[in-house]
Amino acid sequence: MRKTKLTDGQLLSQYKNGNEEAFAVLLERHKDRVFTTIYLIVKDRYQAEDLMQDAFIKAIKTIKSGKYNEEGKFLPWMLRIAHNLAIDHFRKAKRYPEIVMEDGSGVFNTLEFSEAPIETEHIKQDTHNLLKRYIQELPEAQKEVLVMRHYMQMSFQEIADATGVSINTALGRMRYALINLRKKLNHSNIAYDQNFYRK
Amino acid sequence: MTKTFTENDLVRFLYDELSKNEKLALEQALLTDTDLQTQLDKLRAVMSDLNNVQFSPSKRSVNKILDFSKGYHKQSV
Repeated sequence: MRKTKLTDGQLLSQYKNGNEEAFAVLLERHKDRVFTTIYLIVKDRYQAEDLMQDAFIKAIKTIKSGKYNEEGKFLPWMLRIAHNLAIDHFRKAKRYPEIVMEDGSGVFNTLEFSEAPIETEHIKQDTHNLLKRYIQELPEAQKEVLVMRHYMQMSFQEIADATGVSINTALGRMRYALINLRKKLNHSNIAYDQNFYRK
Repeated sequence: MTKTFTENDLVRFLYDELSKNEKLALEQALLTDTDLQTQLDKLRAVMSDLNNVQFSPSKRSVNKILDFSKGYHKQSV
């Protein structure tokens, strides 16, 4: 018999009717995406683990109380919850200066991350892990746009609205982020051979 | 008159955020402007790599969420 992959909407319906297995499938399907979004913002694995749990717990409470009404749009909704929790955490921590330049760079660039080495010490020196590290090293405003556009799939207009900047500023930050990442990869010890990468 | 495209336009192109007319014009320009094509290829290469960047949560976190869901269900029934 041919197995058909259930949509998020179908799984949610089953979950609302008490099927815990349906939620397990949803969680397995989206956990990496949600976790990646949070981790790229907070930069600390342990905090990211906690926040991911908080995000899903919030979602579970909303769904089981019958308040969820975004059928078919589970992932964007989940990513918004995750993003908001991560940003709240980030703001409470007040670890970085709030003033940034148009391209998102500024005083921040000269600061060291206090938490990054714990994670980076164990990073294998392959290109994808280097890229993970380089994303973490981006100026916060550039990283924010990168995460919102590339991983949360928000449009540049939505990002501009959410962050209170013009669409051109959001675009510029994304452009600087991509250029910065490329420069860092070029300067790394590993040759930036595009044929090497998995597409 | 030929329109000059910026890197911001290329970013919008890569994320499929150009209007139909803008997209057509950019695609036309890419056929003849090798510098523009090179810029696009560079941005596209980084974007492609970004697709492979993924972090995974621990099994422990996943199990905690599943356990919460089962427990919350029992409480609310």
